[in-house]
Amino acid sequence: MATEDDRPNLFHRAITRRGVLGTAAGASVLAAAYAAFGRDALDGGDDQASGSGAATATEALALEREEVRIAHLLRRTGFGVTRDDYDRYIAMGLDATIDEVVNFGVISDSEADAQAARVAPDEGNIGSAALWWVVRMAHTKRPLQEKMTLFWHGLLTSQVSVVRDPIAMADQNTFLRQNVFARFPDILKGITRDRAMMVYLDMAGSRRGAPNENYPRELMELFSLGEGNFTEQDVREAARAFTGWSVPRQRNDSGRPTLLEPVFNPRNFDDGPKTVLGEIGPFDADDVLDIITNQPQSARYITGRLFKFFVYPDPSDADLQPFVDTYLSSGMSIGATVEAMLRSDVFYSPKAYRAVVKSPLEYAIGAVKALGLQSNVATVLAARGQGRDNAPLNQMGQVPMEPPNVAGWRGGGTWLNSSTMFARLNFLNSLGTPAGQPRQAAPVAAMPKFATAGEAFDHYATFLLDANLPDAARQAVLDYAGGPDAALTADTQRDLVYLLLAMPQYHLS
Amino acid sequence: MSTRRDFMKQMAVVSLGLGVPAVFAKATAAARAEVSAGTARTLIVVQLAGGADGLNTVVPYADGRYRDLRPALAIPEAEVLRLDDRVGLNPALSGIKTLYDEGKVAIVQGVGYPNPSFSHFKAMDIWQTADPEGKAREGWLGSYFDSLTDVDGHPLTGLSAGRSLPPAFRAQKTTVPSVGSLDTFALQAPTAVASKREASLVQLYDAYKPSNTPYAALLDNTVDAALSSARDLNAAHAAYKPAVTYPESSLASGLQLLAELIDAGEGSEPTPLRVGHVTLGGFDTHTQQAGELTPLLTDLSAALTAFWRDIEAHGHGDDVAVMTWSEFGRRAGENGQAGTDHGSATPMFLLGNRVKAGLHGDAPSLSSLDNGNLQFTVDFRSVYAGILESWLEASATDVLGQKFEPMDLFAV
Repeated sequence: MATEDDRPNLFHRAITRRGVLGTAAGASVLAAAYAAFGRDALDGGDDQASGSGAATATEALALEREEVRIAHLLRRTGFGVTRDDYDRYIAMGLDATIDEVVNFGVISDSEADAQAARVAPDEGNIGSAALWWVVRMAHTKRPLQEKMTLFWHGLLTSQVSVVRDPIAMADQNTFLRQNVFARFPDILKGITRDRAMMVYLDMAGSRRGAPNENYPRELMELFSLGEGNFTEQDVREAARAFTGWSVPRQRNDSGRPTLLEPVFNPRNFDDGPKTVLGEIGPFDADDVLDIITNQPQSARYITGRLFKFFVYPDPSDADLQPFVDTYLSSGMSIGATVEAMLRSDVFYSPKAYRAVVKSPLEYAIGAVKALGLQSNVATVLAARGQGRDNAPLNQMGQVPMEPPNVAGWRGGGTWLNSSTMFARLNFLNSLGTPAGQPRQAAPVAAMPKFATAGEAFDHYATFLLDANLPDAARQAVLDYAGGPDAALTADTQRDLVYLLLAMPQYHLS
Repeated sequence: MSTRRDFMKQMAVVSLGLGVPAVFAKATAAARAEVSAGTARTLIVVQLAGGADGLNTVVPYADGRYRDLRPALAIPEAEVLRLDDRVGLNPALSGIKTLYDEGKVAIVQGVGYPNPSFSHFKAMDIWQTADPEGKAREGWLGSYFDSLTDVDGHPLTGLSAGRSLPPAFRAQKTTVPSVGSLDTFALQAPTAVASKREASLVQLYDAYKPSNTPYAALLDNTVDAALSSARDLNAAHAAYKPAVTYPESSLASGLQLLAELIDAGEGSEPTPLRVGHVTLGGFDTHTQQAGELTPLLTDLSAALTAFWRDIEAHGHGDDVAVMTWSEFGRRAGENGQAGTDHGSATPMFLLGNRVKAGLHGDAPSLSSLDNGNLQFTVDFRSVYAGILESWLEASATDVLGQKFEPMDLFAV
């Protein structure tokens, strides 16, 4: 296709219409399961905890093994591992693994830098920023930094279809990456200055006398406080503090505007006194951000979002309190808060085990890494001539740089519906299909060769699935291959790997 | 004439009703008896996502205050498509105007609810669950589906065409499949091993039992629903010949898929499509509204018109009704960037051969605003009640959990 893919999203209309990338919203479950496990199974969990649900007894017994705790940590803090990675971490043990994962700053990421530089974002190709980021995700030696970048992008959202400048989106992404573990107020101040964000939420051009409410509303509702913790009047007053900024544009060779660095014009700034969240003063944007982050609710909100991302979807207030305390006593350090979570008992508790549905990025990149296909990640995730709408990540419901709307991706059970299920399974199929097949392009990786089905099963089930599967599952896969001692053809090994990755448990982190 | 490939290029988020997953098979016979005793009608719900500006859609052209409030954005009087001597339609809605003149369009003015929310997400939840307190988790249509069935399960009467399921469809007992794009809505595998793989997959998902984790049941039901509905959907699509050329838009493509399923369901094995849902996004017009709203309304008008002509040509005009909704309208006055901020009361459109055509409710007052916002004159739950009672022949009180005076919107 010659032109870029402008997907309409819920809130800003792109110029051409192509398929819609929707979030996979909640599908229902059988009444019994619903009653037993509450809402989190349905919609990925909101703030209200409705029941303890979660993995009980049998399955979570596996956590008694240190290697399962390590694998659980690796899943939550990255985008999948290779067998070699897994073996190295098992040999290190849990404590050393946590140390390495959390202290990513001392690890060189030159490989990811080099790979990403080969697909640097290009102003003529609106999807290029997403590709550049996916390549980083597949190659990074700092998985937690990359995972946190995804966390921030899903919270402090912007959409390339609205911003229309992939370089600006990549710069926003770089800002997030460089500040993943910074103090929350500083992250908010930085993103408020970001030119892509200013355009996305209409801060650009908002001026005294006619302030635009979009940014202060979504800032309070979605980025920092949550619905119900501010009033309409707070939004209108705060809007006055965010006035004065503009984002100049320059038409580039592709005919699309390049966004230049934001400019502040004091003449357009409303310097009068404002009343925001009970405080009165001639506030500017940074002042309002300080007022917001000094609200006790702000600490609960951001801690809650981090907990739901890393631990499980329905924390109680008691679950969150220790981390709220860490957040505040560390001076609102995100790094300190996340590290505390990753070292906590609750993180390794049965309730956290397989309690999160893998996002499409985790699912797809994990499968790519499982098969050693990282160097082909761009190819396997590309549309392959079927049209951008059929690109695997689009079909699964998560294209980086393009959340469905300003609320980001809801996650949880919303990742799973008939359509996204076909998308996931069909993506796995495409990884194993020889290049000669029509409409499939991924070369089969040089997989390790196994003599028997049993050997292959044990190899993959260990590092992908904690060797924690019901007997009936092992039986079904081995029967497919003709029995545990059956000799493996290349095709049968391919199918066996497909079935293991297609396993229901593999959808879960 | 849209070829299959053209049609598949663009999928709107569409929700439809279809198919019976194997897990529900045993309950089907009993449930089908219940269903056939009820209505064979279809409701198509079109969501205008982002907060569609009601004042520039159903325009109070004769009211001087309209122009005072919107010096830049007000639609010029000469351009408005007049419905009566007070209100008219945005000129982009010419197709809707034609249908209105044919007596097929009802417009409910000033729809809202007390203490409105200005948050997209909260407001959408409220409309989807019919609960302004925000406590209900089921969607209003999900509750409707559940009311059709017995305890063990039931035939699917809703489907989400698109990669998401609207919260309006969330239900306790129903698993509603979602279809993002029909040509990839099937399990792909090398031909030689396809059925063997599928059989193994079903075994693997069945083997992961609900007692272990919150997501096991969801995973199992999703795979079952996907596999069974894929067969039905692909068959319906193959058998259909559209009587019109649908416009090239995601919305139109989604509506076409709905039309196919309406036709497939008539008198055939799967139960007929009961409710379809499609989303058209982009209505959050905070800046430069005119440039954004006009193309959206043009798309809406053209797509609905094509859909309606196709439905009529296939003989289903008396059994299908379309409803539009948006989570809120916009502020009465324009802002400083030729746009509008989040507002409240908004119009709803109903389209169908059996609607009570014309204007319903009262246009919201432009002189008595609430902090700059329009005050509603019709509670949206009365509209839902009218649709549930008259069109779907269900108990509105059971579905909504409360009695609302049903609006009289249908001649049935």
